[in-house]
Amino acid sequence: MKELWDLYFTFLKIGAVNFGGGYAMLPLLERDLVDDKKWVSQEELLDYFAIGQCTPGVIALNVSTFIGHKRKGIIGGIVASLGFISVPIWIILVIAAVLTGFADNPYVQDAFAGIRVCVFVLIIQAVLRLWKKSVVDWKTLVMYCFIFFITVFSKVLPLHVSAAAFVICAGVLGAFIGPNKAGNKRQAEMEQVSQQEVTAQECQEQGNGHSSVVQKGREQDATVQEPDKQEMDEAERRQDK
Amino acid sequence: MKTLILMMLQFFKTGLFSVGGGLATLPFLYEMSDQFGWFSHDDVANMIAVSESTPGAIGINMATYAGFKTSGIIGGILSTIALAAPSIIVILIVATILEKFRKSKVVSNVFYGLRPASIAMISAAGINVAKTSIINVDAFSKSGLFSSLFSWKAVVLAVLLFLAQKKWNFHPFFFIAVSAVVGIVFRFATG
Repeated sequence: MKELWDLYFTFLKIGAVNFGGGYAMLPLLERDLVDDKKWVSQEELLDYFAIGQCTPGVIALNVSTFIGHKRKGIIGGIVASLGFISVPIWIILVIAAVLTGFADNPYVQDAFAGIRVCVFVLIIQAVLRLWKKSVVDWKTLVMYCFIFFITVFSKVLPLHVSAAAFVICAGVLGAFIGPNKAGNKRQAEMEQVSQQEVTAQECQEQGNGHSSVVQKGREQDATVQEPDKQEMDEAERRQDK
Repeated sequence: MKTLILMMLQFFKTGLFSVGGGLATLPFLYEMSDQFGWFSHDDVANMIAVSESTPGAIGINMATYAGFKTSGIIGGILSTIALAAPSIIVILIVATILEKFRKSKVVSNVFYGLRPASIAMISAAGINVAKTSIINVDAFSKSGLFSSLFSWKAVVLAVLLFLAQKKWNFHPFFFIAVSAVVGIVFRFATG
């Protein structure tokens, strides 16, 4: 019971200071739940955000439910979500009841212009910290760059892709190209990852173009090798005849 | 009473079918406004502004607002819970299933793909916040001057905040509060 109250008040506090929607919640969760309370890891947070993006409903609530569920099962999920909405509900009720023109007030506008700058800095810092946990090799780097550019320039580009579609594609792609294959030894994997990290950093320095060139180069290598083998096989057969 | 139940059903539907966060609820809200007239299109626009200046997600805020307007405080609370319910139910199901397959290699491969997608979209969200805080695209396209692309007061604050957070490991809320005060003193929006 005590843990449930702890869960409720933790999310109540996060909900009370979560300006700017779902993604702005990330730095707060990182500070309170990863660093201080150690309820979840950075990787788990990223996973929850990815799933929260492609499941129905508000992202912030989806992530809250996830973390609550991890702590205390089904009741925990419900308690965390209720904690998250507790403060915003009363703020909106007060604004709806008495404060007409709240958003037009010049002091409010100035304060929130300042807060948006801070939210920007908080998100960028969270991205820098989580970068290493998610972009581990050139494959993930290509995925990152692709999704980032399409999302940022979605208004300029003629095509519109929903964020949920990206997440689903990324998950399916990961299932096929991911590093965990049956029979791989853990140690070999670790070595691979550390080598790939180095190449990922090089790619990052030289920009997106370089990494896609690398990818094309490898694909070409693969296609070049196969016809060679076929030719060899045919030559052998001819000699046999 | 009848309105309240109908509205809860509508917000439950919104919560169930709006995939991808706050702004995905907007088409449903406009549709609700046309169909039932519980709130006007102007109310939705105002609510976007209010949501940007209060904590919490826009979908939740809109449900609270619409519920209050038609059925008072109880209405506000019940519509909000109706909107939140599908999220909670779906995630509880997903989380339960995931727990069982957490150690599967396929699942960890799926997450290998999901993480860069997740961080890419968080980065893009950061860029969107920059567009409403430190970068001023409209002024730049009007004047064509490089100096008008950035709101320089905001850039200075951003750099100072960045350095301050590297140096002192205070809680993010401390920096949010300081930024609000700086915004008011130096008139970030109105100045």
